[in-house]
Amino acid sequence: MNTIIRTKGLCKSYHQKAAVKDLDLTVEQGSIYGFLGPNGAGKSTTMKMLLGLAKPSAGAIQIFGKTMNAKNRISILGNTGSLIESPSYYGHLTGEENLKLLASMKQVPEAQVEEVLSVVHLNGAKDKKATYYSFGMKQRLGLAGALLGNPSLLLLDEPTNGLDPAGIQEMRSLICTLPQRFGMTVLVSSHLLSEIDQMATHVGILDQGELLFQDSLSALHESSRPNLRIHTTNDKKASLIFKQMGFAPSYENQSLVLDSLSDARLFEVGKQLYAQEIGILRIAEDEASLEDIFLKLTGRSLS
Amino acid sequence: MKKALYNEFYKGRHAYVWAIPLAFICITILWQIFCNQKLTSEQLAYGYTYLLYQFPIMNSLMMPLMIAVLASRLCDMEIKGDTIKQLYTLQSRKAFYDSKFFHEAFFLLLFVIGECAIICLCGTIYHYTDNLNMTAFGQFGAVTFVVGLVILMLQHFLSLRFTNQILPLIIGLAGSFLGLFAMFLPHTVSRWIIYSYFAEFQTAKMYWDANTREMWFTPLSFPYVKFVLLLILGVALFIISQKIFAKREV
Repeated sequence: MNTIIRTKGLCKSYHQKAAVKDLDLTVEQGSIYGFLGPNGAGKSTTMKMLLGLAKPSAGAIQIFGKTMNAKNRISILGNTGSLIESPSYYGHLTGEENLKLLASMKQVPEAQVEEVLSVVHLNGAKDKKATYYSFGMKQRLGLAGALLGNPSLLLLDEPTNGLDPAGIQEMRSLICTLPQRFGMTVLVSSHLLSEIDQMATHVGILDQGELLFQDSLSALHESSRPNLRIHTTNDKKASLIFKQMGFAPSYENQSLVLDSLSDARLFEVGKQLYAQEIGILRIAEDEASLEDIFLKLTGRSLS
Repeated sequence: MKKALYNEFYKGRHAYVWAIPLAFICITILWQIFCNQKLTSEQLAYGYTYLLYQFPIMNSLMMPLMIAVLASRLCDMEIKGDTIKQLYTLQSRKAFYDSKFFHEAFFLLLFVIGECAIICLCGTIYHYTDNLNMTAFGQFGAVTFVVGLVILMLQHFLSLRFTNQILPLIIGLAGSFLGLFAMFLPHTVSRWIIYSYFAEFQTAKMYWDANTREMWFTPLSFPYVKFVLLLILGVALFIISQKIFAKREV
């Protein structure tokens, strides 16, 4: 698999305060890379550096295998679409005119305008001035602009911000289809864990400018082993048995919580409880959510 | 640059930017209709000369404001639509800064052509009896455009620099008054006020005898050295403002 984005020791400071620290980002081709972190974690700053909108204080950026600098920035970004923070548009131009202008700038045939309008379901409103668009429509217009020219890489900074639930769902499903439909690689940032969980194939967790985790989403879930919740006829006695067996049970919500167990150990637990005439009333595996994982990684919850 | 300029004109669709120079041209026409009523034969004898004397003074008052409105109108569409961060991924900052400036300069040029046309039309309509001095006329056109460009450089930079367009507009308005009042200040002071440069390069000087109530004009030699220095200042200002702008992160 080719690496589309690779950063090495990327740093950015504002007034001697580090916004991004020593970031080594790797985004593989065809992936949807979820860039996750609370507000102010440095996601937008990183994206701006990737697009050359902010100058890194240190480090290097490679996009499509080329080290980006002031001279080759525009040619590299020619194969990139972006939507950073809020959507960009000319309010006095219609949606279609906005896209025609972008097509001219990207040197893309005007015929593609119709295509991207239908991808984002804006055909019906293409003759309306962008200033009269709802925020969701503006966001979709921004995405249509980013899709023009079928770029190989799409950078979307909080694309669902400000959208209503239906709009969020629509944007999410649209992003999910992009790699298969157009062969794009997507880097999408969000402060919403559930969103990344539903969209991404890979995830990078950023907090206070530092990359805490970077791998596939499944690897993230695997690394956070599920807990076992057991509710018995005598939890107090069961707890003592578990301690004798070498476990460290905790008691939460009227059940004993144990770290993940192998099947053989769980069989042993069942046998011991049966021998002591303790009945198992309920047993459940507690899948750790991304929230729990984030809490585990950062030591604090996500805002 | 050609493509970038084409895109700038495309952005200007439905924005009625042409209405700005047109409005100021209309004001000038109305002013001339008012001034050219019941002209005596003496007044007709210095008709063109008087216009070449009067227009730079009018320009000191009107043009800084017009330029501020023009620059603000064209730059504000980028600020309102938050387009700059998108544009920077598609074109270099320099190309954006330059093409926008040239787009604004196009409307300034339209205004200058309009003013020159008014001078010619006044002579034809009101039958001025003197001849239009083509050298002085050319100098007037060149000065109006070049001084306008230098002021435009400043307004262009300010309008892109500030998200709130009130400040550039206030500076433009202040420039209008400053340009007019600078003519009453000692030359050592007024030479530092760029807004007064329309009148600084006047091609004729007016004399007025209060006793005989007579007015007459003497031609002024054109300060070529000063004009070249102004051009150099303009280019330097443009390069500096372009560099400052390009360094700014978005």
